[in-house]
Amino acid sequence: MNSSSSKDSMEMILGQLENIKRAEISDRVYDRIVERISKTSEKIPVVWVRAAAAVFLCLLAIEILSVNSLTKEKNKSEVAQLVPQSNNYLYNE
Amino acid sequence: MTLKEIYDEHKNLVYNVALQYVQNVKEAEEITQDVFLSIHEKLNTFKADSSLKTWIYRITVNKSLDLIKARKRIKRWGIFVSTDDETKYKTNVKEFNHPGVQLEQKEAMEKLFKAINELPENQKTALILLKIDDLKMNEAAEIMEVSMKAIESLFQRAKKNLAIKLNLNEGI
Repeated sequence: MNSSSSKDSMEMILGQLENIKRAEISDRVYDRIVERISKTSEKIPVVWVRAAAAVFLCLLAIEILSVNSLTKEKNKSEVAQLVPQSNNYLYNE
Repeated sequence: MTLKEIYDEHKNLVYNVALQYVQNVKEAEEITQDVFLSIHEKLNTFKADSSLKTWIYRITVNKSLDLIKARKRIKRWGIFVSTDDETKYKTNVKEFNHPGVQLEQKEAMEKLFKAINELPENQKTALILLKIDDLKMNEAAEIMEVSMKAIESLFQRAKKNLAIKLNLNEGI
């Protein structure tokens, strides 16, 4: 196939694309869109779900931190009781 | 402007662009629904930097490409995809059902669209906007958010690749 004939064939093919007719959309599509909009508005917005999850995680983190620090304190005092405190006093003083 | 007014004015534009991408009535209707749902959600954030028509074009192109990607994903990862997506995109995947194509041209056009579908996304979009939707170069460039030079180059490359795929690869 020579250069000009292949160019012509390409133009002919592209010309076919220009002949595609505009199609009309079915009337029922709008009803389906409205139906889907009403369904999505019934759902809880994702932003609120995320905010609630963030608050929950914060509370959980605070709880874990406070429990940890309380346990540490308790352990510290228990260990402190076990270790004899040394001082410079003599027994008979 | 209400959604109904926007829909009445642009429904056939959206539907026809979607049809050029998927060549299937059911999927084009699905894309049209997705586009107008998106418009409904984002209408208050729409800035008049571009015209409403350009904005709608952009959403339609993106939604069409999303559906094609979802289709490919299902083909590749079928068993891992949620059943909702599967039923949404799996039906009539290969069925050529383009109401704008005349019956006597159906076979030739099916072959042509098969070659167009193998083009890279941006070349395919340039070809659809310029040749099928008959937009001007500057309109297509605005929709695709590229320069006029870039759209011209994309179109030329699309033609060249199409010629290769259709075995007309000399002299284009």
